[in-house]
Amino acid sequence: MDSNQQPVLRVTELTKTYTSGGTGLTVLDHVSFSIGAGVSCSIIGPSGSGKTTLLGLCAGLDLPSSGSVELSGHELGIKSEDELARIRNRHIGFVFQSFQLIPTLTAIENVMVPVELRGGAYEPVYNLAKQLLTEVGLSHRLDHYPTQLSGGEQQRVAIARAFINEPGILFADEPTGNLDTETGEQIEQILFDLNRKKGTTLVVVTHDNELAARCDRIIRLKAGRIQSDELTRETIPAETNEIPA
Amino acid sequence: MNYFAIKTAWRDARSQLGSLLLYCSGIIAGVAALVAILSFRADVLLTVDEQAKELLGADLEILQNEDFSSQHIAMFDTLGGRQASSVEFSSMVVYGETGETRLSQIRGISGGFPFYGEIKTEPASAAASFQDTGTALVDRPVMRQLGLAVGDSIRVGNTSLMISGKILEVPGESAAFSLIGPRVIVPKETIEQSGLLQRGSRVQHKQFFAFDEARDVDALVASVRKAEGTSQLRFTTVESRKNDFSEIVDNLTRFLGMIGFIALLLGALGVASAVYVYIKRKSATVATLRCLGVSSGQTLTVFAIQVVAMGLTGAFAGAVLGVLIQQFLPMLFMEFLPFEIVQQLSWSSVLLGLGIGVLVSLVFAVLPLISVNTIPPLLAIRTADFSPLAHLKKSTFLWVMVMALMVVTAVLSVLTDSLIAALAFMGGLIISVLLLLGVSKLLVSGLKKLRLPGFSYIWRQGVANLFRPNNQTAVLVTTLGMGMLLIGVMSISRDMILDRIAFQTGDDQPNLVFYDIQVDQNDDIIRLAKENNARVLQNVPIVSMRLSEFKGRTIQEIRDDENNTISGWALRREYRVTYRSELNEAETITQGEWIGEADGFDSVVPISVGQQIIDELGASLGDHLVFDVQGIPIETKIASVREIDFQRPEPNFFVLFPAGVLEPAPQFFATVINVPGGADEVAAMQQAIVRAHPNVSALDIGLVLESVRTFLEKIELAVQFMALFSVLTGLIVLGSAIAISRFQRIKEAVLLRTLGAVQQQVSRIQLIEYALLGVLASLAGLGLSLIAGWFIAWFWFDLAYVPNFVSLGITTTAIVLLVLLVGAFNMRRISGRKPLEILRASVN
Ligand SMILES: Nc1ncnc2c1ncn2[C@@H]1O[C@H](COP(=O)(O)OP(=O)(O)O)[C@@H](O)[C@H]1O
Ligand SMILES: [Mg+2]
Repeated sequence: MDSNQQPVLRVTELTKTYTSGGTGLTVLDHVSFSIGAGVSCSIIGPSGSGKTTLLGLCAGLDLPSSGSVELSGHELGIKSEDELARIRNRHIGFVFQSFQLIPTLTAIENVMVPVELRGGAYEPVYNLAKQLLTEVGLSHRLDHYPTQLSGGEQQRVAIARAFINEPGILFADEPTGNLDTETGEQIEQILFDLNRKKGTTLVVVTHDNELAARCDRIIRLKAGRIQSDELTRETIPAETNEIPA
Repeated sequence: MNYFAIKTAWRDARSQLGSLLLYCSGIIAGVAALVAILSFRADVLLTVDEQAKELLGADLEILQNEDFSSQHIAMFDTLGGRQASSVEFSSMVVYGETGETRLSQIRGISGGFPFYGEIKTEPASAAASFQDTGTALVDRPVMRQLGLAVGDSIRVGNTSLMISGKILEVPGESAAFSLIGPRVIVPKETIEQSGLLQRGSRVQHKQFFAFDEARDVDALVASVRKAEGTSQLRFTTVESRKNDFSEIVDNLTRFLGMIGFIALLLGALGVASAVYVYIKRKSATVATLRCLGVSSGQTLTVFAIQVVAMGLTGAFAGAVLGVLIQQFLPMLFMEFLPFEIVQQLSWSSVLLGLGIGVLVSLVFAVLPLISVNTIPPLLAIRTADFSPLAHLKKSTFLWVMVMALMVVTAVLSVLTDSLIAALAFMGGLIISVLLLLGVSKLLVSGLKKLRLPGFSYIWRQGVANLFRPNNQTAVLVTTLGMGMLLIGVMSISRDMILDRIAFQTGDDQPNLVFYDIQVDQNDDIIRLAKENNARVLQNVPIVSMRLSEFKGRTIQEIRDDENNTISGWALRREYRVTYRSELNEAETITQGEWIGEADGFDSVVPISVGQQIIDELGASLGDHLVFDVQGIPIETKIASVREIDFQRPEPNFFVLFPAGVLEPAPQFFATVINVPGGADEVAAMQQAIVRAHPNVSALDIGLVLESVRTFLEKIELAVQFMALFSVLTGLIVLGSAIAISRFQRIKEAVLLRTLGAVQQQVSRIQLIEYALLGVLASLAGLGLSLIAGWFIAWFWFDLAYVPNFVSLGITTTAIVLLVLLVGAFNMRRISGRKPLEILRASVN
């Protein structure tokens, strides 16, 4: 495919330093990599190694101290906050560890939000959301509020929401971190199934080695640096998934 | 003492002192209102105490509605002390060159009255010299209005006088006195020469006394009363005037205090709601503490300490604010007070306000507090949405509610000095709060259903936000709505009172009334009116008389009877009676039969009496009354009872005689006319008649209306000022509710940003939420005040009710804007958050 030639995400020399009380803490230290379309990639590493920070920078949720992020051809560093919001809306899906549903909206309304923010017409969006909720197995819980759903069910709603915009890339930050093993496995299954079906690029932050092993590629972070970056399969074209020497 | 509880309370609170302070701020406005009004009352009463003698201007005033007899004058001589006298009445005064006329309050003074305090004039010397120079002192407002200056002249009856001074202040009288009619002070001799006194005006004659400190005035009054027996003399001492005045002040401040109390109750409701949300959010902590083996008594103590501290802080801040506001309250009432208020820090008022504030906020917080004990330790390991109140036993719930209401009622009855008033007030308040809660629940759930697909996402999300967990929407709508309700009812009542007296100005509506017309002047006045194109709508004879016997007993016998319950007013008043053969449009017979013709006063005269006098006298159909018509007794019998529509401006009469009895009696006429054109034509007509007949009094209905409107607006201002505290409370409670949900709001905003919402969308969603809240509150308050207005109109004023949508609309807009303002202030702190926080946010 054409998109295989062009990386969906290209991170170059990314550095993030937090200064608090005069002392600087470098959380990310010259990190570079790129990920091609349709690839699933996991970022693993011990707690505090900078995974969430990296994910945030990749999604344009924060600005790096130096270096650049290019997402679906957009250079994030030169965009305004609202332009970044529009890019996230069109190209990015999110799944969070703590689900992050809007408590005042029903399950289906939560799923509809990203399209509705763009001003989509109600009927088609509703039908699309319903179809997605059916795909994650929640066709019978459309009108329930988040507090009326279990953790696993909430996460399924969040996954449906992440896919509704047919994003080029989906970021998931420890999506199973708040769930028991069994539910976590179901969620993983749904995530990978949809990823495969929709051809989305998937970036999963996790410290679950089993989950990481299901991805095409594993980037290991330690103390803000990439410790290793390996492919679990040989099928991926190397040029869009440069592994630094 | 329970050391653990105190330490834990402090440790638990210190990290969130800011928000705890906000929660308790709800009662600030209420306590402030209460302290301010209590201090104000203390100030006024203190001033009254200090200046009691100035209120009367003398140690004793003896008053009679007719000239004192020579026996009276001889008796006054025996009383000793310094003496002065006055005559007071209303009459037309012609002002200045242009000949403008006004019905004025004239008093002729002879001697050194006032003995205490002084009439303040400009120039100051005029007050002391006007009796020697034979000049007049004239009220400031009318001089300004008519462009008069010292040196111009006025005419009273047939006498012209030069104005030697402008009246600034008269001891014992407030500036509002001028609203009744301009005050004119002249030497008493001038009045005696003016020829006005002989011609039927209602005149009060007063004799003033100033005694040495040692004189026992009460004993003196008692002995004179005994000696005088049945006479019409009325006595006023410094003490009795002071009591009358204190009673008025008490009534006024009690009324305003109640309105302030509403603000306090609303605030306490807000605090209770905040405490509940606080406790709910603390559920996990409480559960953890319980898991660690902390007893339920200890957890309760931890929160109780925090709540007491919050209540104290809020009440204290309110008390300080109240003391500050109190400095400005006198400005609102300046025109109603006959003196400048001596201001003093009244510790008792401050403490009372403070105590009530703490007590009421605690009483309200009891329910959420004890619900702490329903939190199960299990919650520590299983997070769930837990509502402590819902798990409270029904009976406990009811008990606490009843106790709370009893305490609040008790507090209020201490405050108002009347259990009945407190009960009525609480009843009314509970009904309105319940109604408001009901209406707001209804509106809110109506809105919830209204999440129509047709609306844009921004709208639907704004609406959905109202249902955010722990959002207190119903409580907010209630508190804000109550402010709206108070303001609404006030403005509706004012409009209705005005409507009631604002007899439409049309071609056949009267706009000028003449009275005190002598028999020999009547024809000429009618001729003058017709010559000037005016229409004479009514021309009625008036005979004044007094009641001398009622049901076979003399008035004196009835009044001496200790078991007498009949109002002194109805027994002693001067009855102004007319006679005719027909009823007019304003009258309807409710009992008996109207008899239009009678045959002289040798037989019993069948008369018709107004319902109000029937009630006051406790009379019924067929009772016999004897009237003294200027020395001649006339026996009458109540043949019919009438309902009289006093809404009409034409003269109406409680007692109506048939034709054929009073014709030969001494009488004067009242004439009601319609002058086509505007205020200028009315004034010209009035001048023409008063010039020809100086003793005739004229009432320009337009001017009267203006005075009443001014008066009502001043009262309304004071009431609205107090009602504003409720609105303020509503806004503060809103502020604290927003603060409580702040974290939640930030999370939502950031989440939306993460999902790709631009800043404008996030702001709009919030704006819509606040605007809806404001509109809901206004609608609830407005709806109820319209219903209340309709009830008042129906039961009280007996009128069809047409609300003034413009003024209510303005109030609504103001409230919505204020809510938006509070919301916008809060939004400022939410925007500018980095979306990254959403990724780090812990489960909460
Ligand atoms: N706003 C901040 N200020 C200072 N240090 C921060 C901030 N945010 C994160 N950090 C630090 O950055 C490091 C990396 O955090 P994070 O990316 O959340 O790690 P991970 O997701 O791998 O557990 C941690 O040591 C954390 O304390
Ligand atoms: Mg992390």
